[in-house]
Amino acid sequence: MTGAMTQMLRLQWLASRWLLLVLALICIGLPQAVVRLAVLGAHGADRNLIPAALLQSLDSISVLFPYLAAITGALIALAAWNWDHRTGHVYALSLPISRAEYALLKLWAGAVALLVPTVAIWIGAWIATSTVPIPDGLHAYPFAFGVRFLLAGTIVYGTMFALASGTIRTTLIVTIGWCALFIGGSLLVPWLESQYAIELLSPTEMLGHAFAEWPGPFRVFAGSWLLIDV
Amino acid sequence: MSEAIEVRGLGYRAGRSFALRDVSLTVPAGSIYGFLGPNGAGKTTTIRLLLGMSRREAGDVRLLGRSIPGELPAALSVVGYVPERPHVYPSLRVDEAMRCHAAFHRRWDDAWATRLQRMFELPDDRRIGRLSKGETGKLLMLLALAQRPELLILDEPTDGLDPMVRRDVLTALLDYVSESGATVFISSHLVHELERMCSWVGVLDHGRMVAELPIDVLKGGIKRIRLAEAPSNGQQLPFEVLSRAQDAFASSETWVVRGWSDPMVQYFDTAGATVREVIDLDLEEVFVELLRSGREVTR
Repeated sequence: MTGAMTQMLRLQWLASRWLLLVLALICIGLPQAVVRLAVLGAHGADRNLIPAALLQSLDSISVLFPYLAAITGALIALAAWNWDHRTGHVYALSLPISRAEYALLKLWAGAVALLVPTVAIWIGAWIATSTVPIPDGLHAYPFAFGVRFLLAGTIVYGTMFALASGTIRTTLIVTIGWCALFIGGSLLVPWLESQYAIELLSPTEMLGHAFAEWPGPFRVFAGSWLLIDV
Repeated sequence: MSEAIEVRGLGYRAGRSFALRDVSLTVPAGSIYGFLGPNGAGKTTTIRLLLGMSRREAGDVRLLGRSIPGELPAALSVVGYVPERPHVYPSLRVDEAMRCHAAFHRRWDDAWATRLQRMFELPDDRRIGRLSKGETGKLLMLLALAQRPELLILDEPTDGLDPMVRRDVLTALLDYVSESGATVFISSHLVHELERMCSWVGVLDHGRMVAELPIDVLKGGIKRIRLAEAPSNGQQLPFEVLSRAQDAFASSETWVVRGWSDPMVQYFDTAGATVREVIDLDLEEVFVELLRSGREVTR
């Protein structure tokens, strides 16, 4: 099985190496840009308020990081299945291993590939925070930031991996189902509430609570993604 | 185990226009079984069902005594497969494809793979997407053979290949079979090619098995007979008439019959007819007659 794992890792690398290079460059560059822009923005404030101004400035730009983590996870998941979709999964299905084993091997290889942008963002965050003056009372957290990026990327990677593993038909059914639930819920619930003067829990809110609040898996995306904090 | 492939009552539907109905076939171990059928007959679909790639709606499939899909990984470890279209990732190089395949197949024979690669003149560093059709055909055969399978399932492996490449591919296949005693299940519509190598033939048309026989029985039992004063329809015959047609410029008829043996000439003598000629058919003619008669029965 070790040989199969190595080959799967190799296939993942061959399928996504250019994507990983681009993502790594972005992951190294973005923390530099964000921290430098935040420092520039904070210099306009009163000298005593610099820590608070820096945090405020960082907070407004750091919204880019969860998006980057989500896009990274999604693209690596799609790259993992790309070749299989192009060959109609025939090669995978002709191998003498079960479908579950094959999917696990692919999942593992993609998760390893996710480490490349994670290490890049950690390096980028470390360089960014060690090359600007950090006001007293504030601290840099490049490692924790990297871990959060990895967690967020893994959540989206896992979700997209599961979605992309099926046929286009299955993916469409699941996507349309979710869209219908969200759109239907957001239109139907207010209408029912106004018609019958009752209070209902919207499915959109329900799902939002379940997934985006603790212990929901997407909680990692919420809140501030600050590289520098108190 | 005397059967390499056993299929009973296989059923499958793809949309409204195509279905496999009650397909049963038996491939004896050690045989070369030609799976014949016109385009769209359902050959590739049957092969996908054999290999557990599609989900059947009815029937049982056993490969080398293993139930499909229950024991699929165990069965696939001893089955070499060459699909109709290239299935290997096009961005891989030839050597990478071989390494990747070897990692999943415990019986992979590295030395033999290298020998086949040299024989087929496949360059190590060429991407699969950049190989010619002939080179791709050779690579797929190499991958299937070097895993040293007990059963080879080949879906039109020489379709579209030039005669030189076709000969190379088939020679490698036959060398392996004679050395290992492996069973071959080969689908094709190139009837002449199969006639030279197959010991058994199965014919599929419109999702139904039309015939399944040892090739010598199939060819020996089907004859074209030219008759003078042929007996009329409706009589009890000791053989099956697949077709009968009036000859254009003579007062004679040509019949194509199944189940013929030479003593049956006496039947025509007693019926007042004269047998002018009994002609052996080659496999292609047998194939065409079987399809024609099968379609007339269905109508």
